[in-house]
Amino acid sequence: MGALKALIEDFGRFLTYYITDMGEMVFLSLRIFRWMFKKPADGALIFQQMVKIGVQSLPVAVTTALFTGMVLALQSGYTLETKIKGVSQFIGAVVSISMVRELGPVLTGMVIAGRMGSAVAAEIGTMQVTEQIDALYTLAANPVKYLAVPRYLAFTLMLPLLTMFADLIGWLGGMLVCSLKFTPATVYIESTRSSVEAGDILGGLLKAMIFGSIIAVVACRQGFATSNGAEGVGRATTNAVVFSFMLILISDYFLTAILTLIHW
Amino acid sequence: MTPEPLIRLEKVSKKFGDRAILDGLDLTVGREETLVIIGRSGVGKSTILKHIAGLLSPDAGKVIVEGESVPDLTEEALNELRKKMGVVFQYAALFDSLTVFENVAFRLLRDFGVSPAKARAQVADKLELVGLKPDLMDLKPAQLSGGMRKRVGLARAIAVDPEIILYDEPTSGLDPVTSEAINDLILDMQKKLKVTSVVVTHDMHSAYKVANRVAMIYDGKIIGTGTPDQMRNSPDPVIHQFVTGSVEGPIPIR
Repeated sequence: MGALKALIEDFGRFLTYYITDMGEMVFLSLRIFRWMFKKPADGALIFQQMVKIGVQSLPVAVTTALFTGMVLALQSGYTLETKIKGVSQFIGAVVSISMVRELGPVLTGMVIAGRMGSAVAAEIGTMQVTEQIDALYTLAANPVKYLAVPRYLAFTLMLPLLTMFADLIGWLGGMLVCSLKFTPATVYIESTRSSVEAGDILGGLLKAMIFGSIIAVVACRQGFATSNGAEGVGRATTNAVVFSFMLILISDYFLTAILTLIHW
Repeated sequence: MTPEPLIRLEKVSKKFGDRAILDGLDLTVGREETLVIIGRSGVGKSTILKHIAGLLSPDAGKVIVEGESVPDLTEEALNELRKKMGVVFQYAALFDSLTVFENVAFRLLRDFGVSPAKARAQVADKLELVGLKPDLMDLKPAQLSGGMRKRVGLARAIAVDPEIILYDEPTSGLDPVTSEAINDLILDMQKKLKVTSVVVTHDMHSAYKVANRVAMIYDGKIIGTGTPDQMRNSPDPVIHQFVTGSVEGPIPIR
């Protein structure tokens, strides 16, 4: 009985913690929106973050997408040729639909969460524990405006852009494997053309945008909530990545449910 | 003659978790006065400064600066008040992604619309005032020593000619020569710029040197204030033990 009680108590604490955390994140999002439109507009800061978060992440995002597209073609080609038999002309449809609707945005989101969500949490967390956040306040610069808004904009704008590259490179990787092992590239292209619609691509990019805002809010929130020195910075960094991953996957399901419901 | 108080804390209480840090604390700072707050580490000296700067809100009590109740100010009004205030942090709290120039010129460029060329000249002046050479301007804080960082922090605090300067442990962790230079700077600021200063420290030498008035915090309250001489000769056993740095006395050694 004692063990059960302890388990229930642990679960309760866990739940309270996450619900509080969610509440804090909603609150931070609202503050980000409120500060986004106040002057002065920090154009240089936003540009700097877009380069860091977007441009410098391109190599990892593209490499991930390339191999994802290649393995998708390999798996679906194998399945369509040997298990279902004789429908390998649909490889292009399988790869491109999976890529643009699902794997492009989700994997790019995860790569960026791992690469930049962690970096943002560590940077803001370090600023928090070394009183740089307090210093910002005393210099009449609101940290949400100065730190969170540029990062939020950079994540939400750059993630769809990176996803577009990922979609394209993934699709090309699929074509390479398909033409080497299964059907000619023309069949692959034709299969893509007859199945992929604008809505598939746009839905994926919308997802990417939402994942970008999730990563930004989670990372900034973890950074601002950091306490206890170096240990705290480590925890904030880990939490930023873990929470982003979970929220990306959970929201992905519901986004897909909504998008399929409205036939996008 | 009692000067009109510029900063007034009335019955301020603040808890962190279950621990009461400030417990009905009263404190006033007069215009152009340098008040030094002394007390042991971790008893809430910095917490007082954070209340004055509006970084923390009291659980109970009033914090009044220039006639305005700090916890009740909107963010915009608080920023206006902060434009008249400079804060020197214990570990300088320089922005490590920015250069020395960008740190010191932070408010000049952002809020005061000063052109970069003009700002450079002003930053050079401030650096000189704190005893630093202007050729440091393009270095990053990580390339500076602790004492230099502290001076840059001071330069940043005085960049927009504040009326109030809050110093959090300005001499801690510095060698005696640099400490003395910082003490001279604090005195200089008071003389040249006519500022009101609140200095938090447990360095008694520094306290005696820069203070017009010393206040001692103990158990979340101010237990005594006086001129450096009055404090030195205080009959209060707690103050006496602290200012003489003795192990014997009512202050428990934890």
